[in-house]
Amino acid sequence: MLLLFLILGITWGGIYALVGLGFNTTFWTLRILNFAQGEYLMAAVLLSIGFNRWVNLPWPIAIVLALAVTAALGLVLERVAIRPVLQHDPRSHSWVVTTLGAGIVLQNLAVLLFGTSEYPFPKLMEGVVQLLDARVEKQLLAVFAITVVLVVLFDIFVNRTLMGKAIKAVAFDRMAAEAQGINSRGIVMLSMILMALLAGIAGLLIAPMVSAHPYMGTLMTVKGFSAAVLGGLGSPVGAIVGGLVVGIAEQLVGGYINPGLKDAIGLIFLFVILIARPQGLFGKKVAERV
Amino acid sequence: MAPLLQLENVSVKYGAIEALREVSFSVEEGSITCLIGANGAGKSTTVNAIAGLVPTASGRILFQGEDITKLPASRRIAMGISIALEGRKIFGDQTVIDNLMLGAYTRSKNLSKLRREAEEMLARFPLIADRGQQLAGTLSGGQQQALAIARALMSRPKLLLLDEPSLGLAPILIQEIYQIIQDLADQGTTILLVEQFAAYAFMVSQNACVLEHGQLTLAGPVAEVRDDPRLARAYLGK
Amino acid sequence: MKRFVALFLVLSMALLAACTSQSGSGGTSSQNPSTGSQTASQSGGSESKDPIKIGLVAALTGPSAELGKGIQMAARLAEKELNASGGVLGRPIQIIIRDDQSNTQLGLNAVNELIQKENVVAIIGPTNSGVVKATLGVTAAAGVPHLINNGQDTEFGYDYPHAFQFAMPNRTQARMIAQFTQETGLNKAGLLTANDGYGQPGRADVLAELEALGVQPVAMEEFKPTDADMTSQLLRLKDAGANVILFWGMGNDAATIRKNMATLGWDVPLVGPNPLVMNNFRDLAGPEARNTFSTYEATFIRRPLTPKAEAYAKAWKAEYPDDTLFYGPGEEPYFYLAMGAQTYDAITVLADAIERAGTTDRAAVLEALTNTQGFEGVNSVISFSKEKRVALPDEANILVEIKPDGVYEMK
Ligand SMILES: Nc1ncnc2c1ncn2[C@@H]1O[C@H](COP(=O)(O)OP(=O)(O)O)[C@@H](O)[C@H]1O
Ligand SMILES: [Mg+2]
Repeated sequence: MLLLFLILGITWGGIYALVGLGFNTTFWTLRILNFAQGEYLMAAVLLSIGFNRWVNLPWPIAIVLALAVTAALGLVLERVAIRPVLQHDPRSHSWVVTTLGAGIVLQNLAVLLFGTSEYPFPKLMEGVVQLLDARVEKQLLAVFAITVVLVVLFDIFVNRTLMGKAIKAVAFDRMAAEAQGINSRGIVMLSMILMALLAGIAGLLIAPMVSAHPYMGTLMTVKGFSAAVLGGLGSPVGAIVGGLVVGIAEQLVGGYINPGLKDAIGLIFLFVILIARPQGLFGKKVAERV
Repeated sequence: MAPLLQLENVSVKYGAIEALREVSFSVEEGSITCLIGANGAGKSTTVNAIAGLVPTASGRILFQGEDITKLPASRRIAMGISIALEGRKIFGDQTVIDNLMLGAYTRSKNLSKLRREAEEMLARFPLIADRGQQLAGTLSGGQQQALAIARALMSRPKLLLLDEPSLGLAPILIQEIYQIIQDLADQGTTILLVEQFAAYAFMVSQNACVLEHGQLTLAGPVAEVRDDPRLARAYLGK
Repeated sequence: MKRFVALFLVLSMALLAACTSQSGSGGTSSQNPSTGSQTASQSGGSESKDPIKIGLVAALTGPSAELGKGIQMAARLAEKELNASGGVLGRPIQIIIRDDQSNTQLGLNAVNELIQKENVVAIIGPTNSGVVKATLGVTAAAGVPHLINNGQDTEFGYDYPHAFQFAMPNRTQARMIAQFTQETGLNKAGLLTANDGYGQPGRADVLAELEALGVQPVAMEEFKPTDADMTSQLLRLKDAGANVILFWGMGNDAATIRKNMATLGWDVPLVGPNPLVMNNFRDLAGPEARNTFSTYEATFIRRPLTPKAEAYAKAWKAEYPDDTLFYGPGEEPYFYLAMGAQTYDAITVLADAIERAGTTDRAAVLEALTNTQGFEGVNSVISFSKEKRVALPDEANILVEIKPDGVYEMK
């Protein structure tokens, strides 16, 4: 049992970490938290389904196209919900409302296009494997493996490419970055694309295990946010650790105490961390700048 | 020969505040020109406008005879203008080497080549030569200033804008930084040097410009400006 | 920063609260605007050649629209056949259909309007149980016979003297689900039910039926209908040693459960009520739509078909040759045809009662309805009494096995 809880917890935690990393990317470049994040997760899934069902595209193409559209929607979000707010007043915090609002718009668009019913989503692989005394589906391990690869790629991108260093530079000091010839506008757009892709891929990974519907993203916003804040906003390691902590704690509480409490775990961690250590586990005080 | 840099009636506004009013001066190739004035006179605004970090309200900025007034910062860097900002503004959460590589952002995206060049650049700055892997935020003030200058040099500028390199440094470190500036000048780098404390600037500069409340009130060879009674007024009469 | 986190916390808690509270069924059932409706007892128009009006409230749009459409099609078929054979009391039948969009308030409005303005003899519907519950008071106060063509709540056929139930009552389904443990010998039952207005009464029914059989469940778990992941509940059932899962909830949740079971490499039978036979369970569960059992009307599953069922299927095919949703895509009629037949039976029983009453007086029709004995409907032979007004006897329902490619009678 414990082993199974850990496997499930790590897998789900990885998904939360991806969403949490998405929170970080826009926090770095724009100093905002994008509360529409979960809706991007939903958008990628439903768009894939739409392209497959109604345009009759094969799944791989439908998924790539859906991710591209989701990324484009990320750019739209910056243009309509974030830039006007920050342009009007860089210290304004209206983005809390505008990103939440944009999320609601996306959700309602999805309801218009897809209705409130659920849709199936194909698995990557069938079959079951035995891991010590736990039996799990191969799909679950595939999700975990892809998550690990993504996190590693994200780390390489941010820490080992000039573009990644430029993102960090913009995050640290926008003017100083501009003074090096870094186009901070471009970096901001890149961060929106990254945000949308991280959320979108997270959605595509869980879609076969849960059901796809317009409301699937909302809870993921809460959990990804919990992961990001728990780990410390802006810290990639923090988002990953935060995601894993939330994911594993959920499974343990759901399994040993009460499944009904599962979804509340993220919020409970948020409360505790805010009282005990507002900058999060791995955060620097820099988070207080916002 | 046309001057390397030329400002023609440049004005800059921050909203309603007119930080620069019709400023004109030029910088000759191979020289150090210093821009001095009291705190808030508009010195940083001037160099930031030249670097393309602050938009001009009117006037023209010419570099090598070419109008760059509307070009983005990245284009100006590519053309050969580089700035070490006031307050160093190094990327504190990245290593010294990473900071240097970012200085060459517009020039190349080849990481291994950039790393090699960054290491070469580092070797030229004894203050930080052995600090390559250290996080820049943990450097001392003088080391950070050296890094800021080194980073600005990574783009191989024809014109280097230095904004108050001595700010907040202990006198002994100021000497070290000015030694660096002098060495650069000896190698033929053209520098526009912003200083609040004219005494330092005069030691290395050939020409001087004095800003007062956003207006240029005095310009000429250091020897003349130094003895002009208006210089004292620029600092005292605010 | 703290401020936003705090704001977000409040928002997300509101969200969680909304998720858990929205699980109540249908909404406000307390409303009971029975304004002066007691007076009109003479109804259905004057005693002439005017049509006899019957009110049907169905969810033609909204979340239950597909089902609503099928109900409408069945009603029109019944109306057409009745009128073709000379109508009732020598008068044509007119079925007035109103859409409630599965919305309680719209359902109430429709029922009131049909009774007050259209002066209908009887009300059929609405489609959703929650809406039915809310409207029962209105029809009771107005003395209007209320034929519940789709609602499955156990109380509908027992607790309301003016109400007649044509769908399979939950209690009957619960009994069959409980009996599964006896028929298969898999009696380490784990209960897994939705914590909403559908799952909670269902769970109580299943528990009562299990107790009657002397079976003590090894574990009981609940889920929120919004739960995306039920592995925790499943692991608890598994850990308790369950060898069968007795489920009460909707098809989409059952699909999540089957997929989660696959994730855990655990495969025991899942037994639940008739929403499981709907396409959405098989669509969503895909290859995992297996080892799953549900109850359903035997009408179109068992072969050979009864003559009445065969005639109904033929008439349907003739009237709606393009329909594949209810009749199914093949030559042979599909089990789902029984769903519309509930409405068809309601209308034909009502017509029979009016004929026997010899009048459209609501009280007389109600009495005639209550005295119905041995009426041959499509889904069953229908008999009502003062104690029980349930159209489908237990034996009309059978256990079916659901597989990825279809629904089969359980062997
Ligand atoms: N970003 C800004 N927004 C508004 N006003 C500014 C900004 N930067 C500088 N100023 C104002 O412009 C004037 C010139 O500032 P600055 O160029 O920094 O002077 P200096 O570098 O000579 O000390 C000052 O009055 C300052 O307050
Ligand atoms: Mg300054």
